[in-house]
Amino acid sequence: MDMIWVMIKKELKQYFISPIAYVVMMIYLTLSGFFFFTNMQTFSDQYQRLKNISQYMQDPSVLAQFNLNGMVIAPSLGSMLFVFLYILPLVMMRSLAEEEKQKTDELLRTSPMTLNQVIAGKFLGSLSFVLIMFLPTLVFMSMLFMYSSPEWGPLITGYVGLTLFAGVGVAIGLFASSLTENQIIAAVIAFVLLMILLMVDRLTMSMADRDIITGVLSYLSIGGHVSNMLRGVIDSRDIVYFISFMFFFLFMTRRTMEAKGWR
Amino acid sequence: MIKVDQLVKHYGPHRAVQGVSFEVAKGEILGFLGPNGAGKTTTMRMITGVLPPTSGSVHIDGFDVSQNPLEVKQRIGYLPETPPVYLDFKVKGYLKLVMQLKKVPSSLRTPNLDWAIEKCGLQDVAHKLIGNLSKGFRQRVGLAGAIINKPQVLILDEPTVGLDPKQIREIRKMIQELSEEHTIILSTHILPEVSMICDRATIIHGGKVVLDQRIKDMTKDRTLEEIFIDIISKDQTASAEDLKATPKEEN
Repeated sequence: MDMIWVMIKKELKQYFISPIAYVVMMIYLTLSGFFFFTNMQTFSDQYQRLKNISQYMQDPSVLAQFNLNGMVIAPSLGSMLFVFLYILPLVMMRSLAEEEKQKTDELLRTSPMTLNQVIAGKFLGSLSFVLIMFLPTLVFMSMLFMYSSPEWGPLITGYVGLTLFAGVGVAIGLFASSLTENQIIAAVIAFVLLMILLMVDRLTMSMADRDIITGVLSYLSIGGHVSNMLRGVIDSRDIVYFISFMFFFLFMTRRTMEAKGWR
Repeated sequence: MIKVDQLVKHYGPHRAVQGVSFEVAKGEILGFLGPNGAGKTTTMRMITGVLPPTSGSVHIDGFDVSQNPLEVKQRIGYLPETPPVYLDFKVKGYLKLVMQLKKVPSSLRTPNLDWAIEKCGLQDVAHKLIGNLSKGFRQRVGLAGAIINKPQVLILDEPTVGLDPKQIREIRKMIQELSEEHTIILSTHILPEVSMICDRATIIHGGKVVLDQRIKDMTKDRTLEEIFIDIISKDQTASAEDLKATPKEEN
């Protein structure tokens, strides 16, 4: 555990002593803030309109289905996930590729720690960075609580869902970074893998009659699992899905590193 | 202290190292020589556990590198060809990281850090970014990283490359001082360096050990350089003859 902790601290330090961390965080928070703002704007426009209609029709039930959770929180979390799709490959591309290119992997290879400790340290270090990057978005959400009273539950499950998605993205990014010493190639591979995982259920649209394949493909797709959590539904199947994908890509990372002689 | 036994490394069809064996006793400095591409770096990487050997074994202080890698890694300091330094770290920050990675007990960290910085002459650059340092200084930072946990075994791959003559002399002196407590394998192309500071020289060529002798026993009539050139060129003519001979046999 000490060695994992040493690796986590090293990874975080490497993020924060280079300008990359601040640039990536700024891009992430700006984009998320932008999407939050547009969602808020849509909400307030629609709300005004519906308020007029309900007054005119003298029927308050029109407004009942209209809430911040569905109109602002869920879509904002959805757009943050969308931004992750682009940002995670950039956050992760350096991880192992740069160690190999600068030959600093020899320091890690001759240090008294196991390969699992190296991988766990790299994974948890990067995941902590991603959490530090996206937790400030809670400031946006807290503004909603200052002026209204949305439900807590879906907000919490939404953040848990985003964290799990980030975990899968970080594991994929780590795997991509283990394949090559070229950061650009690593970023592209990670982006394509994440994109495929998000989009694979689109294939099922034209083959509604094939039950098994449709079932498998839509299970494999991240989209459905994440949207459950963004809506506030916690299903153990979704959690198993995320955890198993994380471990699958960490295992693939281990195999790649073993093939390069890491022990 | 170090026992290398029938070490073999193949990269696909290419046989980089073909059955290298030697032993280094405690406190000895071994000069590890050979022309470019002879398999020096590959052998050193296998000794330090960076590369798994195709076959053969390495024992350090009785521990097998492939069976007990953690025990071995705690006992060695390794300076690879390219110093494994993080360019965006400051010198002190990097050395502190190395101590954590090498599990140096926290009570020893301050004295070890000061000792390594002083030994490698890094006082003036301790607070500078490694990326802004010259090649020679990066080499010294790498060396400081290799010795900072005061390992029993020190493996140095061309430690004096890129240093100025004054630094080279300092590093040599340092290596000699270290040999009182440490066992050292030193690879280099500067042959007089070996005659000066090493106890023994091992020459490998084409992935095989072609000479393993004490310095004392060899420099009576011929210099190490003469011996080295002699062995290498003899081997080259031999292999050239091999090549000529093969088609004849077919005819």
